[in-house]
Amino acid sequence: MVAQTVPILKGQYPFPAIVGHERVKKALLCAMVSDDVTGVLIMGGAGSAKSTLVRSLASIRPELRLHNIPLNIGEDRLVGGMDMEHAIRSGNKRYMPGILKEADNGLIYLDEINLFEEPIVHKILDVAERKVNEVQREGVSGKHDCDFRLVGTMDPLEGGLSPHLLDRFDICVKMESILDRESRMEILRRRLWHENDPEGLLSEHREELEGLQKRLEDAKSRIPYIIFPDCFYETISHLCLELNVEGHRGDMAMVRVSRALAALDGRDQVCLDDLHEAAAMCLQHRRRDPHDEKRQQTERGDSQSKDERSPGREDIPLPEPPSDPTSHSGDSGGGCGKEDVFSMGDPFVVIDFLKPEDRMVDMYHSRGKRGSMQESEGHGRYRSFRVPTGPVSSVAMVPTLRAAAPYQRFREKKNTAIVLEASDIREKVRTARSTTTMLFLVDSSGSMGARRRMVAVKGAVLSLLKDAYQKRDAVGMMSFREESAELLLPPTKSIDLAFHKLRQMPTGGKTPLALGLSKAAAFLTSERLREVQDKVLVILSDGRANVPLNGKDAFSDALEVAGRLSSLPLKYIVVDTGPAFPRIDRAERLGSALGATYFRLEDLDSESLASSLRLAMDGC
Amino acid sequence: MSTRPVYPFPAIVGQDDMKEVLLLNVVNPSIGGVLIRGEKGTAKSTAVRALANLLPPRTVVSGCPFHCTWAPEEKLCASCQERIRNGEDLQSEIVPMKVVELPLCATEDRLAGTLDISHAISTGIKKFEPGILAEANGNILYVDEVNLLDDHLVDLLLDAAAMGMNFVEREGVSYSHPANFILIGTMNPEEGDLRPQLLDRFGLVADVHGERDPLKRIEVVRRRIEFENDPETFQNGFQKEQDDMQQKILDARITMKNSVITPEILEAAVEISLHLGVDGHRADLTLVKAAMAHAALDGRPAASTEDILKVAKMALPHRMRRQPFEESKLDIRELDEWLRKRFQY
Repeated sequence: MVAQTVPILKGQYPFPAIVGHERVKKALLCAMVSDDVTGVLIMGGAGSAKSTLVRSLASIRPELRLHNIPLNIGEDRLVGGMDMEHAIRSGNKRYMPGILKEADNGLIYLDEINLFEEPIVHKILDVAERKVNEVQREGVSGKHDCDFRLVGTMDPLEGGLSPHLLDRFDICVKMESILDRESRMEILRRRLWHENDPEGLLSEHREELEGLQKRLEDAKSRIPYIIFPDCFYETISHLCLELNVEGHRGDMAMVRVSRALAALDGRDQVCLDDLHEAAAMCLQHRRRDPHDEKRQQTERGDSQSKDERSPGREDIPLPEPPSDPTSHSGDSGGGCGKEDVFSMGDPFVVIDFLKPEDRMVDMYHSRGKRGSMQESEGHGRYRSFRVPTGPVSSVAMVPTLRAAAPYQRFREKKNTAIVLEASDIREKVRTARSTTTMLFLVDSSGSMGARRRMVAVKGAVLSLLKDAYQKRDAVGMMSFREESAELLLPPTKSIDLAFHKLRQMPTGGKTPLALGLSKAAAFLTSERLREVQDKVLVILSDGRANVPLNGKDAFSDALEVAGRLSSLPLKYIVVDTGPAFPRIDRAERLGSALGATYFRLEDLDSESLASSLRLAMDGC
Repeated sequence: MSTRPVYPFPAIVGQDDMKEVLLLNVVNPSIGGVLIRGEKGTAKSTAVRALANLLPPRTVVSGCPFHCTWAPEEKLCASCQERIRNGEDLQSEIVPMKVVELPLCATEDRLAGTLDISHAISTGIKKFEPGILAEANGNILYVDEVNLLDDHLVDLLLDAAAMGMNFVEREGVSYSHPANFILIGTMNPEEGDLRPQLLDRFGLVADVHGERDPLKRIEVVRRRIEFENDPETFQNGFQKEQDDMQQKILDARITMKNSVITPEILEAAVEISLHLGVDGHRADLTLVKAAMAHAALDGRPAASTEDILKVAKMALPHRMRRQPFEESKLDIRELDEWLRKRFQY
């Protein structure tokens, strides 16, 4: 077997040749300079040069080996495990280190970090923080030092990363889209040049590259001597409190990163500008999710309107440095030269990253409990193995061989190196992303006919469809009007299809609410959806039923059906589409009969609808 | 391998968009693959499989399990380099480029490669057993109904496509090998969408529709029946056309080598992307590369703004941002008018 050499990819794109993305570059340079800055996370859309940027690090630090971790890496290869060949030969179990050992003193790159299995990312981040890898598996134990830089990239549209993983990254920065013409053309020109003649592009940037390398060397030697003014500790903690930063890792990261920034700038002392810049890199991804407050609201059964929402995204002024800054300005010789900011006591406004429209946090946290991995039979990703307890459906061949390996010296053989016994057999454990099926039950009767309301409902459904797509959920749609309820769309993953059906949905007529409910429930509990674990019925109606099921009062019929439905293993969400005034409580009563989470359409602008409903779904 | 008769590419009636995107990719593989969208029975798979007979031959390292393209030592795979270190004198070999198919039911092991079990049992020594990605290196990787492929396989595929390398680190196996392939996917959009990330990876896209012209429909059926009755005679009938087409591809490849990229082309590509609000830089890059291939197929070494417009409808529809309640369709007529106004041609 050829020994693994993670290739230093030839013809690397030169780091200085990348146009724009100054903040992301600075963040990466911080990690190159300081041993303390370990994790950098880069977010950006498809084709925004995230990976190019990370791989180009090899051009400034060729000695730093880049270890690309494949998405489907097995835990045995990551942390190390039993040396199978050795076990077969000698009958002894011996620890064989994995990639983490190879990556000691190197750089680990996790491309599409949000698509990795969470335990793998967790393990890597854990080792990154402890700087030691300890293994107990397959009957062997191992331990080795493990000090590496970690860079992750992700496209937030493909799903989020859970907050506790995010928090482990010192720095999180976002790639901005480059929209000006000149830069775009320059990017294109260089890219094509690189593909045709990498040497040529390199030589054009060689001088810049060498300058950068020298600057990094200089900064590295400077780092241990950087002065961090005491008064800044207080500034940082105030800032973190103001910005709703969770935990203390943010504070720590601020200190480390601002030191690295000062060193990069060729200074010996951290100045306020460094804090400013560090805040933009270190704090945004740690801010508490504004929806938490919202969740509490919904849990209280309290449906307040928009203006009560937390002011999470407002611009917040950075508190002034608490102590007299002039005492620091004199003694640092060639200090930062920004003292005037201090003495004027300007409360400067924090940083462009706090713009209200910046919804980074929403995107990070968009992976709820929904979409988690669940064990499944027969299909899905083969993730681990176990000693079988019953009949074996699918043998995990490699683990079986590994289990048998240490006993080979003692077994009788004919022509093969390995002899298996029944006790060696291991079976595969497969997991599949647990999918949710959502059925929208849309009231398309006359009472909804006021055109504006139907538009709002359609907007709401569409935003839910988009969210469902990210979670790879299946979405179906049923509408009820006149005398019947009709399945417009069997559960599908095609947004296109759902979108067309939605657009063509006819409205008008009476409201057979009870019929709609019972048909929807019957469909969700039918045989064809037997294997779906999570089923959610989202009812969009004003509750003004006027077609009875059994000839009694239409609404009490609906309530009666709802009562029966509440015992089914379904989750219910009622979105009240009735007018705010005069207000009728029918949809609300329907909701409580179902045991549903209740929203009013007004409370949910289509931006936050999906996230609110998601919270409700996970909660109920 | 038994050779099942392949329907000749030139015998496909109509579907010019689809044929063109496929040819452009063969001329310039760095365009980055093709996605063909359309309803069932529109000759999507037939066209991709037929492409095999048009592909130019390639020079590879003889005996390399990953079909390494013949190149200086440092560009070869780990296994070839090992052979050189062991004093072996590598030989080159000319082989046809082929279409490797990824079945939907493939497992992760089969796609990426895994531990060679029988070798391990008989010798007790670990050895890497190459998978489909190894087979696809230097060739075309074809995924029929790519929108139905399991998520974890899609992720693997994207990873390999992005890196041009396949890294395997599981089951005690640690191996990496080159995986450069032209990705061709076909799908029926009614059965589900593709993730935007995967969409963006396809250089060009062609939307195909069933033929509406009754005469052409008759021709489609007539040819198909003729082919099924007597494949050999049918193939011979199109041999000349097929040879001509292959020659055209070879010529275009040579033209491409000497092609020049004018600033006007770069400007046009960027302006179009900005005008349409396409994020990311793959759109710009693909526009230029496809325009160059388009010009080369026409025998011209320099692409013009006209070429850019021709390929815009293939390089952009799948990269348009989708707005709520708007179709993410590319308005070609609007773009055309805008371009004419902007570049005055």
